[in-house]
Amino acid sequence: MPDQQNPLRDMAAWLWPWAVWAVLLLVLTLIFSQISPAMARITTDTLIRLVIVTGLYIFVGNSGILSFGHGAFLIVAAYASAWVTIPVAMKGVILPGLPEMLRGIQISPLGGLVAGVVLAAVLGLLAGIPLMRLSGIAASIATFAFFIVISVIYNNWTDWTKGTASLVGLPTWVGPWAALAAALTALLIAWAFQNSRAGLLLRASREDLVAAHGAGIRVMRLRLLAFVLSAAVAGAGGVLLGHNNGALTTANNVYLNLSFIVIAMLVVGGIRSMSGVVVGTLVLSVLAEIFRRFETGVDIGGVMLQIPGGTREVLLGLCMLLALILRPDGLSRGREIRVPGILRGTRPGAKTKKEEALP
Amino acid sequence: MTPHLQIEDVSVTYGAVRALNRLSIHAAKGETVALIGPNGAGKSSLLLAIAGVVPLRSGAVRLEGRDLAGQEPEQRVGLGISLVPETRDVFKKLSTHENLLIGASRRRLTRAQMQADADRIYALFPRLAERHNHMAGFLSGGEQQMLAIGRALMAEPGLLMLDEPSLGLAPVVTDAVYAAIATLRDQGTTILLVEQNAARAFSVCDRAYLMQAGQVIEEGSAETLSARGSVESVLFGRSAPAKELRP
Repeated sequence: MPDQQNPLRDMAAWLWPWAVWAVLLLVLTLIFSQISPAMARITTDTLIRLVIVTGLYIFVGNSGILSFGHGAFLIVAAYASAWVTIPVAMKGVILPGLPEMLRGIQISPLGGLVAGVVLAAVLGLLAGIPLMRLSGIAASIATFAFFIVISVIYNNWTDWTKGTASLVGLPTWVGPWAALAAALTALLIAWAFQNSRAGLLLRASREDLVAAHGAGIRVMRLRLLAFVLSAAVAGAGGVLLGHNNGALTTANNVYLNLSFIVIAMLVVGGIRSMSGVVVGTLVLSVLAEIFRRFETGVDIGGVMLQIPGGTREVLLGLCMLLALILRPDGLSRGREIRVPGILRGTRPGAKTKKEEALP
Repeated sequence: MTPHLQIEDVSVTYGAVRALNRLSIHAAKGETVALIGPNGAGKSSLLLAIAGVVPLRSGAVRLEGRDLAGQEPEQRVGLGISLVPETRDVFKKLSTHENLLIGASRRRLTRAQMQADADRIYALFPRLAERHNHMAGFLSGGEQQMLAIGRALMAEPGLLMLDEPSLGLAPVVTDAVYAAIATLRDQGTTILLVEQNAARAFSVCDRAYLMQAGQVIEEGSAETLSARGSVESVLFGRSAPAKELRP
C-alpha cells in the first residue's frame, strides 16, 4: 500500500546525509579548536580547504569533467576581497596603483566575501561559455590553461596585486567557527544542487553523454550552471584563505600547489559523492599535517625522525596514485550516508522486505 | 489531413555507405507503424535520422507538417519525439527512479506531477516499482528495456520510436514489453516500431513497411504482408507458408 505523503519526514530524509556530516564536523571543530591555538589553526585550514574542495566537487562531481582551473577562482576572489577590505590608509601605501574608486573604500568582511564570490561567479560564467563546449580531457586541459592565464595576469599585475610580493593588511576575521559555518553552507549548497533537477540531469550526462542528449538534456547549459556555482563556492574558499592568513601572494606557485592538494582530496575521497568530499579532505589534511611535522622533525623515543622538505607533496601524490589504483571510486566509493529506514518512503507497488522474503 | 510524421525522400550516408536511399514513409496520429527488414536495411538509421542523431544527406523529416531541419536531438525531444535505442542507454549508475525522472526533463512539472507520472510508469511496469531504488546497471536486460521505454514515456511523447524492443529478451519478458506497447497504442500514442521479429511486430501494428537496402519495398497491413509472403523472402531469402507470420 502506498505510503502517505509526509513533507517533514521527506525533508528530514533529504537532509540526513548533510546533517550527519554537519554534526561530525561540529564535534571535531569543538574538540580540536580547544586543544591549542596551533590545533585551532589547523582546524581552520582544514575547514577552508573543505570549502574549496566542495566548490570543486559541485562541478567535477556532477559533470564528470576534472577541472584544473579552480585555482583561478581562488585568486580572483581573494584579491577582490582584499581590494575592498584592506584599510584605506594602508591601501594608499601598499597599493598606490589601485584606482581611486577602490583605494577610497573599505567595506565589511561580509561585503568582501560577497564581492569575491560575485567576481568569481562572473569569471566562471565568462570562462565557462567557451569551456563548457568541450568534454573529457580537452575540457580538463582547457581549464588548466585558463588557470595559467589568470595566474600569470595576477602575477604580473603588480599595481593591483603586488605580484609575487606579499599583499598584507587583510583583516583576519576567519577562525574555526567562521570556517565551519562556511564549510557547512558550502556542503549544503553542494547537496542541494546534486539533488536538484539540474543536478540529476547533469549527473546523467556524466554517466552517458550521448544518451543524455538523446533524452533531451541541455548538457552545456547545465554544465555552465554548475561551473558558475562551483566557481562561487571555490571563490568563497579563496576569500577565507586570504582573511585567515592576513596576506596574499602569488609567489612559489602557491595556488598551483593548493589546486593539486584540493584535487588529490577530491580524488582520494571519491569525486562522485559529497561524503567523498568530506572524507578526502579530512584524511588528506591529517596525512598532510603528519608529513609536515615529519619534515620539521619528530622526536620518537629520543630518536629524531625527519624527512626532506617537499616530501609532503610527494607522499600526497602517492596517496592519490594509490587511491586511483586501489579505489578508483575513492574512499567513499561514490556512496552517501544511508538514510535510516524510518525516514525512507516506499514506491507504490514496491515490495517490503517482509514481502520479498515470501516465496 | 497532415500525417503526424512524414518522411520525404530521405537519404542518409555513412561515408561511402548509403544507409537510406530516398526513403519515404508516413504515420498518422495514434497509428502504430512497424519497420521490418533484415540487418543493414536501414531501420535503425531511419529512427536515428528522425531523432536528429544522424544528419540527412537529402530529404525532409516533418512532424505535424513542421520541417525538423536544423533541430538538435534535445530540441526534438522537446517537440515530442522519444527514441528508445537498441542499446537501451539507461543511466547505469543512477537509480531506476532517477532514470524515470530524467525522462521528464523537458517538461515543466512540479515534484508531485512528476511523481504521479512516475507512478503511471510503475503501473505499466510493476517490476520497475519493485526495483525503484536499484541502480539501473544492476537491472536485468528486460528490466532495462522496460526502464528505457518508461523513461521515454515520461517525456509524454507524441511519437515514440522503439528500436528492437525484444532484442535479447526472454519470451516472457518480451510478452510484458509488448503488452505495454499495446497499452500505449490503445492510449493513442503514435509508435514507430523497428523489429526483426515480424510476428511480434504484426501483433501490435496497424501498418508495416518492409525495408531492404535503405529503401521501402512493400507497405501494407500485417495481414496483407503476411498473405503475400514477402516478409519471409526479405528476411530469410525464401518463400514460406504465409500463415507462420500471421499475428
